[in-house]
Amino acid sequence: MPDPKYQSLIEPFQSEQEEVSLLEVLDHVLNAGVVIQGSVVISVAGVDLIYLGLNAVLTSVETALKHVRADLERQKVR
Amino acid sequence: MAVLPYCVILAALKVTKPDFGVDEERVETLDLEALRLFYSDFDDSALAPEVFRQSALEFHRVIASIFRQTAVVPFRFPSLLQTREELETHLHANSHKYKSFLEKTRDAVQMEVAPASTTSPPGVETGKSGTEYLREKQQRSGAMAELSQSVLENCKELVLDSRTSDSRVYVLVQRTAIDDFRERLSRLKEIRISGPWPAAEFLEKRS
Repeated sequence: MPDPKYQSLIEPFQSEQEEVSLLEVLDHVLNAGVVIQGSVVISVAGVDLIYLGLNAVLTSVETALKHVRADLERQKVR
Repeated sequence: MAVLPYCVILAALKVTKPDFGVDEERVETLDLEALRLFYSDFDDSALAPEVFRQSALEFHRVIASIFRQTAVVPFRFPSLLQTREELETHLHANSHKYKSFLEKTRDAVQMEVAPASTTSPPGVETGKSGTEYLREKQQRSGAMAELSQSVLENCKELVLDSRTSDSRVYVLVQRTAIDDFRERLSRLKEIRISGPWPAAEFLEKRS
């Protein structure tokens, strides 16, 4: 049985009230934690980014996060 | 196919890992120098705009399920490396730093306190003059210093370490002190408490 203190981290999006938790979670996943310096090949928003440094990738992710936030705001309004 | 690291723990600890992570890829382990790193193979399609949020949440769930059991060094999503060998190189190069951090924070979590009115990160607004921006920044900095002081005064015995940014106060507390921490801060008005989180703000981020 999980410790209730950590329940919000495991099943964080069960209610409207916890949409704030969703934003918090995305904020942590995208902005907290170790950044590895390295080369990668990925596609962000349908655009291939080849052999970018990870910092450039994270900049692209910031843009993606803005879209996620805007999407959440739209859902709240409905 | 790239590899996606989730987090690192002390290898000596018994931890149950989730079987599957982002994009239903199997969660694998890499043991090196007393550390255990969790990772998955990763396909670029998991970053497509229509599944990006889902991928980020799946990433979070892997870390959360491990963090529930012990301290972790979390990676940002999406940190990608080309091969497992690159992961080994990274872990080898940072093993001392990760080990000392995990030993120091083994029974600790990061709690965060922010002004309740903060709905978006500072600096997002556009169209302001430089003077307005600097004035607001100064006000925010003063407010955060006050908030930090209030938090530390109310929770003095619980705080193992703390940091203050321009939007949050980060506090390292024992796992057993989470309820006490929340209770003591409940008397403060207009604040938002979140956590427990992995103690990422207390680790030097760039590796």
